[in-house]
Amino acid sequence: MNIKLPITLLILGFLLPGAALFAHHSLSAEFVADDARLVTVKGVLSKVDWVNPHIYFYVDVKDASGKSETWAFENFPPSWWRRYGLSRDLLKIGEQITVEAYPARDGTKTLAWAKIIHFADGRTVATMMGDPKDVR
Amino acid sequence: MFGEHKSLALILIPLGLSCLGGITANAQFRGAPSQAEIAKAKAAPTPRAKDGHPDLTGYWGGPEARGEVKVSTDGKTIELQIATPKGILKQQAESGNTEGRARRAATEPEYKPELLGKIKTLHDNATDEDPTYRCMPEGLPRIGPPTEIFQSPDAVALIYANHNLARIIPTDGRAHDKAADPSYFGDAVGRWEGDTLVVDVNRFNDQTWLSAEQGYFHTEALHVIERFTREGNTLRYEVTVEDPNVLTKPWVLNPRTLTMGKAGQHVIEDPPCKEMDQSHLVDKYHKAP
Repeated sequence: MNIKLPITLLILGFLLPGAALFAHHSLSAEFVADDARLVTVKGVLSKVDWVNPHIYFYVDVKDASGKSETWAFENFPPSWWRRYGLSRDLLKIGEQITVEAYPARDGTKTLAWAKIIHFADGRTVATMMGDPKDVR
Repeated sequence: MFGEHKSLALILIPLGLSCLGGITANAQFRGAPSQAEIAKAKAAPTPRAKDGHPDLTGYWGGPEARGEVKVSTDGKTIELQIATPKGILKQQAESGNTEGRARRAATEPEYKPELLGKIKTLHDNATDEDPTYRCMPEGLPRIGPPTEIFQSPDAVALIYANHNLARIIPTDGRAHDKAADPSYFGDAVGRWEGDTLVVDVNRFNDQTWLSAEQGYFHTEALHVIERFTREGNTLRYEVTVEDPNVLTKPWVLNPRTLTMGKAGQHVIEDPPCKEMDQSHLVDKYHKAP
């Protein structure tokens, strides 16, 4: 039987009022902001840095051999999340998540910008819409 | 820049209007209040302190909810549907993170011609040059109006949601402290002109920009005059900026009208600023790609 799970999709980061916190640096100076280069990473959320100017969350990822490495994902500041009624509690330590992310431009393999976060229960948070390279 | 979300929003909203898939969820967002909302808030009685001055006390961060964003998804394709009245939709599209930009664009400071090259260089290299990129304070007028105000007979406290900042403005008739060290938010004194609180600020350091990402630097001669006028449950915030060393004339910012937030609402702690990105930046100043 094909059970269709409800999907909650929350959008951050594209309609928010101007905030000084937002203006930090160029996305493309740190990440390859190109949908063709999105990486998909699945693992267990291990830590959250709820700080300005960007939050970071960390995901422990196991490779085929069982070896674990920790990825760091960057995203918009806490005030952005709050404005959508999303609190840090959304990111639960120990929960399995899948992140679609822009890789770090400097080649750091385990650093990326979280564009879309998929939670195990079917919820999805899209923090950005569209492909930034198309809107430059 | 992250600022290109303006384009992002403008591109995506028309997409959303032709939304096909099932609506699965919504999110609320915040924007500038409509003219009708402002008129209604203005019509409320203006509370006064015992000394007869308008009481500016309140949370001036409202309103928060501006409608709904309904979202549908079709495999990898994400589309939007904005289920708000058209006026709000347009307003949101024009605001987004660009609300501040639009406001600034309405009036821009006029710099001495010989300084325009420096401003462009600073702007082009904002990743390195903008002090806030390294978690330094915004200063005035960049930080904008306070989010919350407490008023007493001899001082007014301006509380900002950003960076847990409070500015205490004496209103007891004192003069500026000529010995004050130059600082990010300067030496401020307040006085009442009719029903308007006028805050005069000098003794700034030169370590801030006047606005975000434009390279609008200033010198220690910066002089900022802020005016707060309460009408009902609205607060009009006006700013004039002077710096004869760099500006050809005073810069009068586009006024803003704030509205009162929900009863009982207060500024909450802002997480600290912890810069972790600089070591990963790749541009002409940083690592080669």
